[in-house]
This record gives sequence, C-alpha cells and structure tokens, in this order.
Amino acid sequence: MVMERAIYLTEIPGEFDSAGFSRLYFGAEFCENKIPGVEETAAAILTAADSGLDFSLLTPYVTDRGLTLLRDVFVSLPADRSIEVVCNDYGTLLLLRQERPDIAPVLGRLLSGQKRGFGISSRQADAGPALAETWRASTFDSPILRKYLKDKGVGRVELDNLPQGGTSDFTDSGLAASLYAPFGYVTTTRYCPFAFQDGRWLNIAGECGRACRQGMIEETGDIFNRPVWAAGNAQFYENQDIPSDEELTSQGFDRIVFESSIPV
Amino acid sequence: MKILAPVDHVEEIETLAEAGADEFYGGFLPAEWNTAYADVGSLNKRTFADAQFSTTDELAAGVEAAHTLSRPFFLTLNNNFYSPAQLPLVLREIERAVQFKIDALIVADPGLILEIKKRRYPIELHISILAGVMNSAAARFYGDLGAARVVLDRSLTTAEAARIIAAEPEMDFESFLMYGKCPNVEGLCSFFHDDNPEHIWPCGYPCDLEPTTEASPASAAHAAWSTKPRGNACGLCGYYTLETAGLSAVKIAGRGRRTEDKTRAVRAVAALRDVSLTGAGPAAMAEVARQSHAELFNADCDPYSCYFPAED
Repeated sequence: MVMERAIYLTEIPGEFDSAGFSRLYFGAEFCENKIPGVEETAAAILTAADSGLDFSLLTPYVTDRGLTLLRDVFVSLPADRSIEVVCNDYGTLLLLRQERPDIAPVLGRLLSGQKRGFGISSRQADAGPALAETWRASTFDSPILRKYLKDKGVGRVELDNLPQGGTSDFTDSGLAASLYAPFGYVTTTRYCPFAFQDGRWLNIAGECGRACRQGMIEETGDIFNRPVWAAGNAQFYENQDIPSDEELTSQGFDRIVFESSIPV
Repeated sequence: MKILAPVDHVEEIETLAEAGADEFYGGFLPAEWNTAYADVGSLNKRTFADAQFSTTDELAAGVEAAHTLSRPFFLTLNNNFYSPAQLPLVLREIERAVQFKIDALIVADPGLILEIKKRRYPIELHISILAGVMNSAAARFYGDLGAARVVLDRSLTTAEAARIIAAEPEMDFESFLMYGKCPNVEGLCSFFHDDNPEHIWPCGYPCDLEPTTEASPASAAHAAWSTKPRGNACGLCGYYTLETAGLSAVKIAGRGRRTEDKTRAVRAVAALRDVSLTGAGPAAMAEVARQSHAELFNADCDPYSCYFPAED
C-alpha cells in the first residue's frame, strides 16, 4: 500500500510547494465563520488542479446558519470523483448525502472521540490495562458503526496522532483511514477568545471578521509536557513522533494529512 | 416545559419532586465496571462516587421512587464511545435498565445507539449533549437512528435552538438551563473528566494554562473562564424564548452537587414556569429571571456564567 500524502492549508497562498503531496486539504474544521465561500472554494479547487493535487474540502461543526452556507458550497462543487468532503458533524454528513450523493463523504477527526489531553499523561502509568487501552481507541472501532458508515457511503475516517499512541486498526474493515500530523486538536469552543468584545462573543453571530487569524496564544501545558496553543476557537498540541509508513499501513492507514501550520 | 433534575440517591427524589421536578436522570457505576476502568474511566462522564447511585438496589429504589411519584427516570450512559471490549458490560447495564423499567437512556455513542437499535430494547433513547447536536440535520440524523429526544448543545443561542425545534417538529428537545456551563463544546472536547483533587478539573484546564505569549485581549478573554463562577451558570433569561419555541424540557446540571443546590435550581425554574402560566410576556419574564438569578447567586449576571450571552 502506498501512503498518500496530503497538505492541509486554511488559506491558499499565491504559490506553495506541492512537491511530495498528491492531495490538498482546504477549508475549516472548527468554525462556521471560516467556511470558504463558493468562489473561494472554486479557486482552491483550481489551485489544487494546477498543482496536480486531488481536493478535500474540510467542513466544521455547524449551526443551521452553517448548514445554509455549506449547502451553497456543496451544490457548487464540480462533479469530480477525486473531490471529497470531510464532515465533522453528522448533520453535515446528512446534508452532503442529500445534496451531493455523488461526492465521497469522509468522517473527520472531530468525530473520532479520541481521548487527548489533561491527566492521561499522569494517569497512564497507573491506569489498568483496560483503561489505558480505551485511551488509545476511537469511536470508529465499533464494527456496527463501521458497517453503518459504509452503508451511508462513507469510505474514509480520520484520526489524530495521539501522544499516548492509537490502536484503532482499519485493516480489512472496508474503511480507509487518515492520520493528521503534527498537530492534534484538544478541544474547541464557540466562545472564541479572539472574538470577545463588550461582553459578547461576536463569532456566534458571524460578526467576528475571522479575527482569530491575527494570532494565537501559546500556553505551557501538561499534555505529555508539550505546549498547547489556543488558536482561534480550538486548542492544539504538537506531536512530531509520527508513526512510520509501515506502522501506519499495518493499522490500515493509507493517508497522512500534514498540517503546514496550526490550522487556524 | 418539563423540568429535568439530576439525582444521585433515592432520598432526594421526593424533595426535588416537591420543588417542581417532573423528570429525573442519574448515573450508576456497577462494580464490575469499576474493577476494570475505575471511576476515572466512568461510563457516564462523571468520575466521582457522589455523582452515582451507589448500588444496584439503590438504583432500583430510585427508579421506583420516581415512578411512585408518576415521574420518569432516565439513566445516563453518555460516553463519546465505548470500545468493543466495553460494549458487553454496557449492554448488560442496558438490560438491567430495561428490567428496572427505566424510562430512557441518555446516550451519545453512535455505535452504542446502533447496537441498541439492533437489539430492539424496549426503552426510549435521548441523545446526550455529548453528541454535540447543534443543527437540525444532526438532530434528524439521530432521529433516524431512533432517538425520541435530543439534548441541544449548551452554546446554542435561544434563536438557534428555536430554529432546530421548528425544523424537526416530530422530535422532542431539551436544553440545559442551570449550573455547570462548560466553555468547550462538550461533544467535541477530548478531555476525560478526572476529579482527582491533585489535578485541575479538566473543563477548567484550557484556561488555567499559563500563557507564554504576550498578554492580549484574547489571552485575557481566554483566561477569564478560570476566574468566573461557571458552576453557578444560569439561563433563566432564556426560558421564555425556549418555551415559546416548543422546547420539551429544561435540564438542571449538577450530578454530584448537594440536594440543596439542586432544589434551589428546580425551584427557580418552577417559579418562572408559574409566572409563564399567568401569561406574562418576554419583558416580565426576563425581569423575574434576573431577580431570581440575583437571589440565587447573590451576583450580577456575567457573560462567563450566562447560558445566553449573545442575546439581549
């Protein structure tokens, strides 16, 4: 199995180095105010095509306002079998299947249920084997869920590269799997610190102007002694200990999604 | 609107019912589960004994006490997922719930929901806030899986909640209204709850970290979560809009809190409901809500402890 390499960008620069990659991930995972518009998405697809890359549109968890925004984008997507949509919300999955049954849905890492974060590092040593195993598992380990997803047309699920290691194995499952690296998300909020003004969070009404892209907050953390970044309305750790292609292949992973920077 | 109250032991059921609770929910950690996973690996997102019925007999007594008062009892089994190794133990608990005539399960794991559906257990399914439902299509997704009720995400505005309720008239919806406002989207938060006193309560963790970048308005807004009394969060001011929208039930958070705290919250919501029954309009209801908040918490409203800070 050849490991596919994808490059993850939240904004499309004029030029970028696509060497070594065969797919572009573009869009937003965490905030409906950063859903690219129809024209922005079309431009990204064109950029990907010009660079010889397949295209995956990242979508966030959404309110009904976000569903409306996504519907417009989904309808506008060209009929192209190489285009995927990464759904991080089961409502988005339903919408995509309804509007564009011809496009391959992918279930994103926000739905993986993986345990990241506080306490695992300090508790792992004295946790019993059963509990420690749970901390390395994911929602996507359920055989009945795997079958259900396949029946719904989902062919791929995506996970984070856990500091404590992941045991989810997709070999012979009928589902392909992707691993994000080097940044894993820890949590996300609608109370975006970059959009707080006069006692209100402007992002909730869609009035923040994507202020989060002006900076991020680095914090000392306890996630395996790694720093944590609050970037936009999500928090991330970095894990440069990326499993080898052979290790990933042995667990049924066939794609690595490289984040060129913390995805804000 | 019904008032759904948390219960941790049988003795508090009658008190909460007298205060105005119409429905109850609670959790239970069986001994076999505790042996393998300990309290930190809880099967219902509460990692301390005070937030659980302590024995099978007490759980059965709690259900019976609720039913004697003609009120339903819902069992919380709301982890984001249960591993294949955990599934047999969880299914055993569900079979016990069916045997005890528990009225509904509060669940979040789509794999578990599919297992329940396959087995056709005669029990209603309520989708936990841990499923992170924020839109009408997600509610429909769970409705298609057999859910009768969906708990909406805490961060939704009343207008956002109203849109979902209007879009899915065949389903029942529930919203948290008092206590325990987490800043993060609970269904998408990967912290596990760990109540060891040597550790920081995980919902406080993201804001209790030490910023190493230069201080900014954003870092101040971020850090403020750890200095505000979020345990006493309040959404009373949203009652009118939610009721008008057709919300089925308001939920009091607080499994593990003192009976006195739960009772005060139930009384506050019940009093607001009484005012609503007189035909009071939104302005009058909002005024009663603000007075009630001040009396309950002896504090002014604050965006960090308000359930609906984006609204007037």
